[in-house]
Amino acid sequence: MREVSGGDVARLEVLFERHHRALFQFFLHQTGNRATSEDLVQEVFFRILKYRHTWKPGTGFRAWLFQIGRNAWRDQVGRHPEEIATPDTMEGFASAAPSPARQAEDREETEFLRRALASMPAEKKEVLILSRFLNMKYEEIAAALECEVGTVKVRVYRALRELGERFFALRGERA
Amino acid sequence: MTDCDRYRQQIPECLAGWLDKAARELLVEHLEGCSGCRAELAAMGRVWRAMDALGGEEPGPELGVRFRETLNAFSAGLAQAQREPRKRPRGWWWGWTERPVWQLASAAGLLAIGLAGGRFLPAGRTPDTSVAQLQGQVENLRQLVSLAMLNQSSPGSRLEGVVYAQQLARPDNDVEQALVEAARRDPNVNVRLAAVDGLGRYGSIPAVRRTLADGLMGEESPLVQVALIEFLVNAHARDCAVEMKQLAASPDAEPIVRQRAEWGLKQLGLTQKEIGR
Repeated sequence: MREVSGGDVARLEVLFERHHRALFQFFLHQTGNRATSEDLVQEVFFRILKYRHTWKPGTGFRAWLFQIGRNAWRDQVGRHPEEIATPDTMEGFASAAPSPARQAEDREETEFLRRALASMPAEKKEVLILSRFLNMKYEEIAAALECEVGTVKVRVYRALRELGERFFALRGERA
Repeated sequence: MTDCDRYRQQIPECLAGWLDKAARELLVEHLEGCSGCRAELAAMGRVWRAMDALGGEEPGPELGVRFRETLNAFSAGLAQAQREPRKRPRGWWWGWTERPVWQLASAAGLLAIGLAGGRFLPAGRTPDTSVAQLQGQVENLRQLVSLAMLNQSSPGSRLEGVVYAQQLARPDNDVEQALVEAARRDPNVNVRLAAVDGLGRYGSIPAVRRTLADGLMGEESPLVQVALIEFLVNAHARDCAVEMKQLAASPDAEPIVRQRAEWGLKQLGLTQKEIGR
């Protein structure tokens, strides 16, 4: 990023190759819509080009990337609130392909979990996406969310707990 | 916070495999004697594992293609911005503010006016009125400075003028017009870009929106075209969608500009019928 910030913008291609899938995942879990998620990834890398001078050397690129990603997502929600994912509008995900023996059961469980996740408040959902799906450490999430590491720890725990409650409620089980 | 609370908060880290050995052993020791925490770990573990099935989606290959188009167009725009700015006609008066003799004379004149004002103007106003007047005078002075800087021949000074104008609390019509003029006609790409950014607060004024929209097609720099599109989107300029549509369909426009114009139309949420009007 140092080289991009210094004017060698072509080097952004390396960062795009390294990070665009994770960013796409982040948006896909938030929106449930592939096209919107791809547009948002494009938007984030465009903002990086535009605001490349604001990156501070020594700052972790991934945390900065997701800061921009969160802002892009918020702007999107502000302009198009109808695109916020709801449990019934998560059709952007391809169906998973579990083993044939457990296919039906797994598909049902996955569907319940997807609906439970989609129904979560955005702030809780985002910490789960960052830690569980993108495998980001709490320090990195704290940098992206601009909060304390301890806050991230509590938020991830509460979010996972709430996801469990929603998931088991949909299955008709008690957590 | 109870022991159980503290240990339960470590469960996600434990499931992710991030707990160090000592912390993990303490957690296990606690779990052995606490059925509530064991049940919580079991429930969370089930959800955690089930989440595996939700990951792994890949974006389509066209995303990379679009990104590279954007990157190439942006690089081309940057190269254009770094080239020599085009000349613009100047009158005999051009650049007088940069001549040392005039700068010295202006400074002396302002000092004399200040001294005379302090000596001869009547005193006795209430402090509040004086402060308000002083603030007004400072604001006026800032407006004059920003207008003067926007008229400088050096692009750097004009850029400073734009930045200065952005900092004004209550910019008047002259500043607004100077910014619009800079956004439309300044020979330097960076000044035009900064001026478009600086006009963000004027997005609610129809005349500003209209003037900038009129400049969309004629603008040479793709970067400025993109900035203009963003300005119109942020200003919710649905009345300027026709210009954006023309740009989106223009074969002469750079791919990045056409893409951005299409994005802009989408952001404005217009139907084809509305755009066609």
